[in-house]
Amino acid sequence: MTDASNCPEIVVLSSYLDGELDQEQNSGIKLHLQNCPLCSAHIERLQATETLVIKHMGEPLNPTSVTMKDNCLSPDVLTAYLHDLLRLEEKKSAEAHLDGCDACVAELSALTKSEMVLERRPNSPVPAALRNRIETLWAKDQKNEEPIFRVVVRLLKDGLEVLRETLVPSSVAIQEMFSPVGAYRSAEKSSSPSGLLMKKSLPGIELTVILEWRSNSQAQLRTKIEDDRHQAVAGKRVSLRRNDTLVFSDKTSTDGVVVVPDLEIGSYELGIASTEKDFHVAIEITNT
Amino acid sequence: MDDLRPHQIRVLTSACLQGDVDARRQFQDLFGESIYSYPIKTFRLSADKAADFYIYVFQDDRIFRRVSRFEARNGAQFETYLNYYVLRDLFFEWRRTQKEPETISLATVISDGSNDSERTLEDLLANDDPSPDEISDRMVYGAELKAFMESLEPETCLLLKLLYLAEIDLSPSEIRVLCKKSGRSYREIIFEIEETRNRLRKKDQQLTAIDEQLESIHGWILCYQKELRQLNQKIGIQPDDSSESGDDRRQREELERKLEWRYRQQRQALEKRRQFRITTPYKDIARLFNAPIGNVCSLVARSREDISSALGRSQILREAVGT
Repeated sequence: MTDASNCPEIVVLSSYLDGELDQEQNSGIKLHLQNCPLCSAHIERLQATETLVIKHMGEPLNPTSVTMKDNCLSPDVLTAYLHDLLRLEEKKSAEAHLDGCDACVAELSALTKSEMVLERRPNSPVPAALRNRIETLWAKDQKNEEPIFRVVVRLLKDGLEVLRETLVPSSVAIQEMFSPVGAYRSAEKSSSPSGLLMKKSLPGIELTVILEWRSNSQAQLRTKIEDDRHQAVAGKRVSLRRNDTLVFSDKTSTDGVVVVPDLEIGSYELGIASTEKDFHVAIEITNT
Repeated sequence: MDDLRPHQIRVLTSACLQGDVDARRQFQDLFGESIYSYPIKTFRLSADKAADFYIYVFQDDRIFRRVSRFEARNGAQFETYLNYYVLRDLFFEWRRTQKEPETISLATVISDGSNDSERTLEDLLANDDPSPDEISDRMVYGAELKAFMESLEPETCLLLKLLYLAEIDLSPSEIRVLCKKSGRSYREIIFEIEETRNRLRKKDQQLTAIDEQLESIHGWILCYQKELRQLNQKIGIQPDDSSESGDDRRQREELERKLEWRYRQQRQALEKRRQFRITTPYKDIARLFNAPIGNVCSLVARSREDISSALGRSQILREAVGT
């Protein structure tokens, strides 16, 4: 008959169940359980309880009931929060939102889980044939499209800088402009260009685009259209789109010019209507 | 790519959209492997299918149109956005273009480490359908258990969930409680929960295999849920008697059926996983719960004893123990 006073306390039995005891304690409990029907039954009861509890609690949480709303955290904010990239005030505001929004907490959990799953499993290399196939796809697309004249410019404190001049095709004449220190430029001598002039011949059109520095957050865009005898073309429609949204549209004046005075940081597409084909120039202005 | 600066990402993605072949080549160098591996890692698709998905992603500049407007603050954030939002959406869009139904998960081999025992998930799940008696028992136990569990202190419930973290998800409100208790951010707590799960998963090879299946099933469930939400929104704005509405309703039924099947698959895989009985180490619970290990140890023991005594008074436990 086992003496109940020698039986381990519930804390010890519970720790034994969870594998928290050291080897010596573990062997001692095992031996005790072989000889003590009371404790053996106790352990059995605890295990059965556990099975029932897990069955009840273990229903997976599938986020069907929580739906993101319009004011919920955007993918930009959620991913930046995950990587700890938010500024202090942005972070505070995101956490205040998380305090009251189950949908965003669930989304953040799913995002973290997905990130860790992808990190845990190694990537497979892309087969060379597949890479080539994609490049062939691009080559086909290139053939079907009119060459695009594209420029990326960074606005500095006292001038501008061309970031990807190399992307401008050789058929485009491109020239940096250095104006004297003027009213809107810093009094100190600047080594950065104040503007960029680009010229391109298109069927029946001589196109000139001048991008001028205004400040480190604004530029002015001047477009001039002439015919192939260098006579100004009036009444030609010039449009400007930002992220596919039309932000400016006007016809060239009698001197063939259209000016967009306050161009902010962003990606733009300058469209020039033509009788044969419409042309577009991509301009990206950044200050970072 | 973590060291990519914001303007470099913007310039690169913008150049890709504008058709710059050099930029596109660079994009493929940087992110090609992630894109190709995404359906393999998340949905356990074959290499052939992953190649089809890869082509779909790049065709018609789909990926460039989606990523060009994202203002990433560094390369890691960009890749997270690419994986979780862009590729997930493109995957779901691509899948709708596929005529044949997906057959991936059930055919995947689950090895238990022995040479002669290679079974597919389908084999593993084949005989797991509950009998009508079992279903009835579960309903009775379920109702009684539910009432009992709801009477427990929320903190006790949370502690037990942390103990069985390998197989139990925490709700948003429970995550919130952990943040408050530990004084840590959501980001830190969620990351810690997933890290702890990872460590638990590594304890057993077969458990790892089942967990990978569960992750894949979870991916499909998210995918179907999103599709269903969009379809429900679409149906909500259509007149009831339009032919389009009829097609959408049929599509919705089909999706609901698939979703139900995936839920069932998930429940069955979870059932299998429970046989492994892996509990979270007390030191990990203590860290998450912001309490000393000794307190966790006695709280777990007390909670177990309380539940065991309470349930012992009811028919449920007596039957479960077989007394």
